[in-house]
Amino acid sequence: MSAAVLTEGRPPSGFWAQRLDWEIDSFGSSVEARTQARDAVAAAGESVHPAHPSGHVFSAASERVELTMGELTVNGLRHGGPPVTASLSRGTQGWLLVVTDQAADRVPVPPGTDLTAVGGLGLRLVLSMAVEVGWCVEEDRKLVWALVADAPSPGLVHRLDQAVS
Amino acid sequence: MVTGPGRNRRRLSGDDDAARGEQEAKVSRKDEDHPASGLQENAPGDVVVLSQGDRTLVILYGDVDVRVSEDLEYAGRFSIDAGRCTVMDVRQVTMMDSVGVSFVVRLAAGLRAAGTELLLQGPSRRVSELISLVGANELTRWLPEQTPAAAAVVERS
Repeated sequence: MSAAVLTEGRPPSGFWAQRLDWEIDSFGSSVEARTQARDAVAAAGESVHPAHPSGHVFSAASERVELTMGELTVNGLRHGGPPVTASLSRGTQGWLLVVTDQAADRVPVPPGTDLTAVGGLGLRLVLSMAVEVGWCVEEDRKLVWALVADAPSPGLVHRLDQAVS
Repeated sequence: MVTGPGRNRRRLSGDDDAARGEQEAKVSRKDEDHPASGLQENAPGDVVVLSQGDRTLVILYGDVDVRVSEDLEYAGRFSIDAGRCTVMDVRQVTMMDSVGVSFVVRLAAGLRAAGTELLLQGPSRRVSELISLVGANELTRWLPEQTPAAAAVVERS
């Protein structure tokens, strides 16, 4: 019941229809992107998958997309620097988020085990939200991508079941 | 009573700290910033820190994300320096990203290292799920649920 693993490679192939894209130069525009992504998924994806019976907040694809988009774009701003671009595409496998920045020499690293270390929790959350996460370099830009499924994985539901409150 | 320098800082009602006393502190919101249902959509969240007797009370509002990271840093430093049991009220959190989760985790670890603990006042399904997802359930303890702070009155725990 583990989370996704960060891999080096291009986004999954297949049919993808781009729905939205953004150029992000501030935390404010990151918030706009994550909100618009959430709304787009809620409007489209959850008409097919209205609500997971678990009732968990993050069983909803729109919540997972929002959090993932926010984390990836903020990471791009912090570690790559603007201009950061982001896109949201729809495919048969779910929702594909791609975020690019210009720091091709600063590649993402898997989070460590120390929860109190500065940094790392964002990618840890992304690995929980997505079923596949990866990165690659294309045309001198770094791409970080995440595939968020419509329905939560059994592993995610299991971990959400552990929530205390 | 200590508050950080947030953009949408709520104002404490009452004449002065003595009038508020240690039994309760009332938190009022700027109506123009937070109409009707409360926080404006997409507005940055907020953090308020209160000293209450032998405890520190941290109240989180709205979107607790990267935009309030400086406020969270300030609040965390104050709470750990105070070295007292800290209650964090997360009932009015509408969104939390890794910056907010990191604040909870690091504050809990810091307080534990200081020989005390962090208690979370819910309910907040969102916050509890995030804490669980990063594997930090063991660092925190949840208080029994209370009536939602509709009147924005924070009772002394």
